[in-house]
Order: sequence, then C-alpha cells, then structure tokens
Amino acid sequence: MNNLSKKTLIVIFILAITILLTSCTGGRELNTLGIVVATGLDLEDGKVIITNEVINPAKGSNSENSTTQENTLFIQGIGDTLTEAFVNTTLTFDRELYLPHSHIVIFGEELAKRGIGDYIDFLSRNNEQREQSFMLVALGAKAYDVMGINSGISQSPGRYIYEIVRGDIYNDETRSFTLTEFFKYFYRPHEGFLTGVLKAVEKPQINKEISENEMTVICVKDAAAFKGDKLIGYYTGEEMIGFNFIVGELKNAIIEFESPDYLVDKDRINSRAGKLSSVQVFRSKTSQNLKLIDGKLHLFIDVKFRGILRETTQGLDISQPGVLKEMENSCAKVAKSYMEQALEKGMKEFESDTFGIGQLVHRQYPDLWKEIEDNWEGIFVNLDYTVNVTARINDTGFTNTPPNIRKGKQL
Amino acid sequence: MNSEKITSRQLILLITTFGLSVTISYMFALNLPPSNQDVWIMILLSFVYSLIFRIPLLFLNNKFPELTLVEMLEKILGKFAGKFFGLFYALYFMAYTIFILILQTQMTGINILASTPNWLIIGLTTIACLYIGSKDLVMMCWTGELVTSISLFSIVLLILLGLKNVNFTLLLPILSDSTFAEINKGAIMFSFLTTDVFVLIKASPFLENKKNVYKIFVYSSLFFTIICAIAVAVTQGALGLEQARHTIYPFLIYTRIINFTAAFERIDVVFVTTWIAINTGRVAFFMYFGYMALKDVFNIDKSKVLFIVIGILIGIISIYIANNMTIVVAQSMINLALMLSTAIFVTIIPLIAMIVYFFRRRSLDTEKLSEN
Repeated sequence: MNNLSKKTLIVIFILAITILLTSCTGGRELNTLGIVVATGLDLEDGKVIITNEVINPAKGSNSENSTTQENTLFIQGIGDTLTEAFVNTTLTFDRELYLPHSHIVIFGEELAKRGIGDYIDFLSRNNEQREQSFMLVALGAKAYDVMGINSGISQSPGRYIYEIVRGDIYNDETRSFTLTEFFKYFYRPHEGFLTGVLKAVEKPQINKEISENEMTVICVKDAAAFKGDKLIGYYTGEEMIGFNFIVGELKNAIIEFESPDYLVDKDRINSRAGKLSSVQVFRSKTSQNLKLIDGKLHLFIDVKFRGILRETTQGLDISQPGVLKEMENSCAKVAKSYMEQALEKGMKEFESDTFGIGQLVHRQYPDLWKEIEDNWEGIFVNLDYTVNVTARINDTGFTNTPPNIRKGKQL
Repeated sequence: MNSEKITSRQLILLITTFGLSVTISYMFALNLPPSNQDVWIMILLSFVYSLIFRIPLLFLNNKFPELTLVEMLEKILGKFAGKFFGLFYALYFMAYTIFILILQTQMTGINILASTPNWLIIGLTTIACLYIGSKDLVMMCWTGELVTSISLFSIVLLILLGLKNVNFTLLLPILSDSTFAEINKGAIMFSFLTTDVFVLIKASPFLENKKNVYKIFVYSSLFFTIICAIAVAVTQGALGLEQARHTIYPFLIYTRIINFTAAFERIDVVFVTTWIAINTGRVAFFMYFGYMALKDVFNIDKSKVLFIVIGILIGIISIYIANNMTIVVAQSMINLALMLSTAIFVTIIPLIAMIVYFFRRRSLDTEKLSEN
C-alpha cells in the first residue's frame, strides 16, 4: 500500500472517529429514561395537563404474569405551558421522559374546542417529538379518559391505539394524520383541517372468564374538523368515506347499498332475503374540476371506483344479465350520497373548507384566487357542486348466485 | 498519470457537494423572493446569474493559472493593493470558516448530540480539519473525492426515499404567484449565497488540465443547481410551503418523515452524518484558504505553526459565538452578511482587478513573456 493510500485511510479513519467519539458525552442510559409511547393533553382550570404513558421495562421483562396494564405507567404533569407541565413530571416521577417513541398525541375535547394554537409550538419545536406521531382528539372526553384502555392484543394501551389508528388503511370511516400532515394543513390559509378521533365505547364482555359484563374499547371512527385552531365538529363515519372520496385519499371502504326491488327473483327465494349488499372499494380515482358558469364557480367531482362484492343478502342473482350493472348504479348512488353529506356538512354546518377546494381554485384560477381568497369562506358555503360517481364491481368472489335463492334449471 | 495533480472530476464533485451542504442545511432559498412554490424555478435561474457574477474571478484565474489569488491581485493591482485585498480575503475565508463551523455545531447539536458541549464538537472538528489541511490541497481534493461521492449519493438517495411523502400539487400553480422581478431578485440573491468557486480558484494551480476551469465551474454549478432545486421542491412538497419556512432545518425534517419500508425509517441520522462529513471537509478547505491567503500576504513559506494558530483562533471564536447565539434563527441578517461578503469578494474585487488588468494588459503580457 503506497504512502498516499495510507494517508487517505488515516484521514478517513480520523474523520470516522471524530464523528463517533463525540457521541460518548451526553449519552443517556436506557434505565434512566421514561420511554413515552402516548401523550395526552388536557386543560383544567386554566392549567395544561400532560398525561404520558410510559413503558415499565421491569414489568415487561418479567412478562409471564404481568398484564398489559402493568406494562405501562401513566405520568401526569401540570403547568401553565406545555413545557412546564412536561418538565414538572420529573417532580414526581423517577425518570426523565423520553419522547422519540411517542406515536400518539391526543387532545382532550375541551382543549381542542378552546383552541390548540398555543400548544402546538412545543410539538413542532421539540427535537424529540417525532413528526410521524398521530394527532387525535378524544371525542366527548378528556385525553386521559381514553388512555389506559387496551382491549386488543398489543402490549400496551398506547400501542393498541397506535395499531388501530394505523389500521385506517383498512377502513376509510376514519383518517389518520401525522404531526407533519397536521402542520401542512394547519398552515393552509382560509381552510380547515381534520384530525383523527378516539372514543371510548362500552361493549358486552364475551370472555366468560372475566367477571365484568362490559368491556371498554377504543373506536377511531369519525374525524374531528378544525377551523383555525378550534374544534368545530365531527364528520361521521359515512361522511368520512365521502370525504376520502372527495379528496382522492380513499384506500379501503365498505359501501352498503340496497338494489332496486324489481331485481329480486322472488320466485326462487328459498330462505329469508335481506336488504343490503356490501361492496369493498379497493381502488378509486377522483378528479376535481372547477368551472366558471355565469360568473360563479361550480365544482365538479368525478369519482370512479372499483370494488369487490363481498356480500349480497337481497336475493339477487348476479349471474343474470343487467343485475350487476344495476347493483353498480345503486352502489354509486350511495357513494354519491356520502360525498354530498360530507360536502353539505362542511359547507353548511362547519362553514369551513376542509376539502382543499381553495387550493384547487388557486391552481386552476390563480388570478381569480388573488381576488377572492380573503372572502373564500363566504364563497365556499354557497359553492355549487355536481358529483358524478361511476362504480365497477370487478370481483364477485367465489359465488355468483347467493345462497338464499335457488339456481333452478336456468342456464 | 501525474499523481500530484487534481482532476476535473474531483473538483466537480467537491464544488457540487460543498454547495449543497449549506443550501440544504437551513434552506435559505425558502425565504428568498418569491418565497412560494416557485422557489425551485428561482434556484434554476440562479445558475445563469452564478455564471455571470463569477466571470471576473474565473477570467483572472484563466489568465494567471499558475498564481494564487493573492499573487494574482499583487501582480495586477500592485504589491500594496494586492496585499491589502489579500488580507481581506484571508479574513473573509476565516470568517466564513467560523460561520460553517458554527452552523455544523448547531445542527449537529439539535439532532444527534443534544447534550454534547459545543467546545467538544468544535474542538474535535477543528483538530480533524487541521490535520486534513496540513496535508495540502492536492491530498485534500483526493480524499474529498471519496467523501463527497458517498455524501452526494446519500443525499440523492434520501431525496428518492422521501418521495412518497411529497405532494407535487403543492408546487402548483407555476409562476402565477410570482413576478418576473421577484424571481430574478431571488436568483441574484441566491447566487450570492454560494461561495464554493474559491475551491476551484485555489485548486486551479494544481489542476491536471488548466484549460478546464470554465468547464469545471459550469458543470459543477449545473449539477449543484439541479440537485438543490429538486431538494427544495421535494421538501416543500412534503412539508407544505408554510411549514417548510417555519422550520429551521427543513431538509432534516424531510428526512425525519421518511417511512419507505420498515428498513427505511428514522434515517435522519444518515443525513446528519453525511452533512457532517461534507461540512468538515468544507471547514478544512476554507481554513486552508485563509492560511494560504495569509501566507501569501506576509510572504511566509509553508508554516504549519501559522496554520495551527489560525485553526485555534477560528475554533475559539466559533466556540464563543456558538455558546452565545443561535445563528440560523437570525436568518435574514446572516443571509444579508453572506450576500454582501460574497458580492464583494467573489464579484466586486475581481471585477476591479479585471478592469485594471484590461488597462495594464500590454505591460502584464510583456512581463509574462519575459518571465517565460
């Protein structure tokens, strides 16, 4: 190896050592940290309460007999600001709280209604808070009321909530928003934004070995709508399907619909017939367009989606010509109604553009947007719109004729 | 091949990557006019202004390829004026070194070494840079080629991995919200915020092919401009226009939200260590330039003692400033200072020298012929 190569290697070696060795100072041992997996923020008597779910490593490592509730601790701090409340946890807890593994940030409803603008600076400024944490509102409750519930198979309540929220890819009656997405929409002028929702729901206890008759589960259906920084209301699950269609973010939804009665072959029914069919939407495409008609903006939303027929109980023989087409039309009508419900709620009840239509005006009519952007909210509430939906059922599963009608001798 | 020479490829890599290290750290471009979704267009346009404003320096360098910057100024402007400006160049390089050293310390401190004291980060970086700088420019360029090629690849890879989070519709409408004047103003300001042409000027006496100076600068500026524009555009698309401007280190946040697969999340440390590697090289280079300028001004032969003294002085001043202020928060002031200093040392002084050269061309050419 010649001198030049040796020197090159030495320089690289020194650079590498420089980078690595400096991390020896300021290192924190794992057993001095309280690893936070979920954070809740509430307001009581003008004070901020921060509730942190902290992993209990001792219980976790002796996990044979420990319950999921014992695997975590809930540490609260109170202060005038979020930072004070956070730091005040060390007055009563024997660990320094460590945020990089906190995947959930929950706002209590009271705090959300009051306005969260002065509490989000801590979240954006803090270098430990991960930008991929999900932002949620506790529907009708304090944040600490919905923490501590674990009705799944996750190791901790925080993890349980995290896995449910992440599961929005399986059910579009909700929508999850990370901290980065939250700020992306929060800063959009003249528009509202959404966050996910958590609510505690009582359900009957099925497991007979447990003495309680009811169990509490977390449900993430619905979404919270914000105007400015204040919570103004909630979109229901069906409205969220419509919302996700409108903004082109629908990943997976079930649409239940009733097909026209004349399609039912009443002669061949051999058991009780139901009312509904279910289609699972697996692919959708939305195009939004604005046109100026008689000097007024008109919004056109065209949605095309493809789905799988998961269930039909009405007694429809989809092997017959025309039946599937009619079912597609009925499915499209229901999807259209969801979208119209969402739009009406946004326009008439919330009076806030949570759909990003303002951005669409900006893109398609930039000069017009400069004139109307300050009055956009007033224009949005009276915006005319037309929704067109085309549904295609691509897959009907393993059967064509449902079990509640006889196939008969027809071909 | 003559192993004592620097190749064009090495310089192109160095200048491209060094330019990126500052522009994607605190992304000052986001706050330059037009400060909206058209910033990437402004950056692309700055390529033209970058070429224009560096013509005097490149022209003089091409005319006197064997001379250092101070020697060139002495030859054209006279001994006294040459040394006077040379001293200012030395101070400028040292001040710039202090700036990038503090920027590195504060960005490293925010992300991976939050509890490490500034004196330790700056001290160890200074020692490493002193060692690197003591090996002379050729050696630095050779080593730099290895480091910068890996770093450039890392930056491009990070950009690609984060594309999933980018909403390109945020970059629309194109040019509707910006005026021609704003775009050009921003482009001019941006072109004055990059100073890595000095790497080419200082290294040109050791170039393998001295005729390639213009080509090297054009290629490196082009690559730098394109990658920088892409980095800014994807950062805006991922974070949103307003959030990107609220953030001190937007590209760092862009890398923090990368979630490509389970294997590629929380890889912001890759960006920080890549950036440390590039920036350490940059500190070494500009520290060396300051030493070279002072050496020429005071006619000192190679002196390691002088270099070490300069390094220690830079380190002490950097520690003092880093402990007393957060420089990137006062972005507008920092940008103004950078722009003014770059305008003076990259364009105005060389322009004065170029004008004087044109008046004295005959005598200077005669002198050159008699020397040959």
